[in-house]
Amino acid sequence: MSNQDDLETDYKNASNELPSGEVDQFILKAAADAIKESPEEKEHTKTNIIQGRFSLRRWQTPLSLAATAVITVSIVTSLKPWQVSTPMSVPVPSQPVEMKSDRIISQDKTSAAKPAAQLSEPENTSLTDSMKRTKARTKTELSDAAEEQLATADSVSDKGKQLRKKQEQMGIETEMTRQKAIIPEPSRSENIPESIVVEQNLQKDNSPSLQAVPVAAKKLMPDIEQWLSLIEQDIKDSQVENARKKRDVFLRQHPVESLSEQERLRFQKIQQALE
Amino acid sequence: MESPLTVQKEQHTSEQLMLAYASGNMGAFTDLYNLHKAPLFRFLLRQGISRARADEIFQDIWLKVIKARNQYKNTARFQTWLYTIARNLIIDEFRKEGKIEAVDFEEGITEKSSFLSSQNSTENSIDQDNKQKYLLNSVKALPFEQRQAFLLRYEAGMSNMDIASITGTNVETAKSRVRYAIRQLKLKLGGSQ
Repeated sequence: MSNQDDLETDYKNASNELPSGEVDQFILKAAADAIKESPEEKEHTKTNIIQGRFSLRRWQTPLSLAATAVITVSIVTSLKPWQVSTPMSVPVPSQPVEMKSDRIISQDKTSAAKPAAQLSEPENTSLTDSMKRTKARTKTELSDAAEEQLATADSVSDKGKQLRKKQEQMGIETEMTRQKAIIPEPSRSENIPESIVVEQNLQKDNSPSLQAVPVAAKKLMPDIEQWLSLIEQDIKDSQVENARKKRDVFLRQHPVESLSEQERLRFQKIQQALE
Repeated sequence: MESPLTVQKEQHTSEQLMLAYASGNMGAFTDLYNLHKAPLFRFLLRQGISRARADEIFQDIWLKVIKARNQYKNTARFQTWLYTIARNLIIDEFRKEGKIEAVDFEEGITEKSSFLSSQNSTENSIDQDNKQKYLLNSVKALPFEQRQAFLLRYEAGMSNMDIASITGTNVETAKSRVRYAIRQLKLKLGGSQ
């Protein structure tokens, strides 16, 4: 034991090194700087940790960023800017103008609400006005309407066909009913009176292909009449290609079985002319 | 040797000083640093590393203490915590320099014989007039775990329980390592006489 004590004494006497003053200063400065950096936050954090509190200060920035992200995402998903807003492929037709004719045509607003890809509103109005004035302009604009129908290649709804058949059986109907039965295309609805005028004008042309169609029948199916007239006019004008196109569209919209006998005969003549 | 009561007072004071520093009291850190800087520094010097390297490791230890000031809990003794950091840094240093031969669960860390032999050669050249220097060199030449135990006892004034806690072993092993270290030193000192 005394040896051990001697050893300890000897060692204590021998071991007297100290760190340099520079090292002391460096460490003390580091300790002081650590306290100066954030004493309040340290105190606040320590207090909150001890008390188990949620430190809003620490979470303020992350929470605000998260809230911003959530709001942005919700706005973007609700607006959906990546979806191409498809405007109405067909413009909504204007309300038809009352025609000053023997038959005042009152248009149903709902029928006009479903447009086809035909004439726009200004064109409808101008077409209606022009049809009233002159025969040539009427024909041209009707032809334009038919051309647009060809371009879109739209077909009459089955419902419209069925209603039209019923109308045939029932006889004369009101204009409003007829308008409902027909696909509410602005050109067609607008052309109802026009077809009548056209028919009258065509009759005035004394075209051999044209036949006198009873007014009642024309009232019932003006679109067929219009079609046939236009096709006949194209044949007359030697526009065979256009006539054939119109014929094809006409067939798609009005099968032969749905035509009346007179219309069928007339169509057969058109077929023979186109062959 | 300091009395257990004195040591106990210092330990209690160290924990209080550390908590006070964690609360922002710079003066507490100054006292704490002055209380432990000398034995800790010598603990590093006796490991057989250069003084420059010992200065660096010494600074690293205190920077770790400063950085972890808010995480320090009174449940752990400050001195145990301090020397555990020091021991880990020394082991890292030895690994970096390739001085560690083996690591055993019971035997602990074993230094390479080449390192020990260099220490012994230095030791042999010391004459009796430089007995103190000879003693210090002999301590450096001790096996790693014995050296750790000896220094923790005679530099830091730790008990066998604290030594066991720092070195990761049991009290009996810590006790035997200290005893073996003392025996080795006595043999060398007795042989030199």
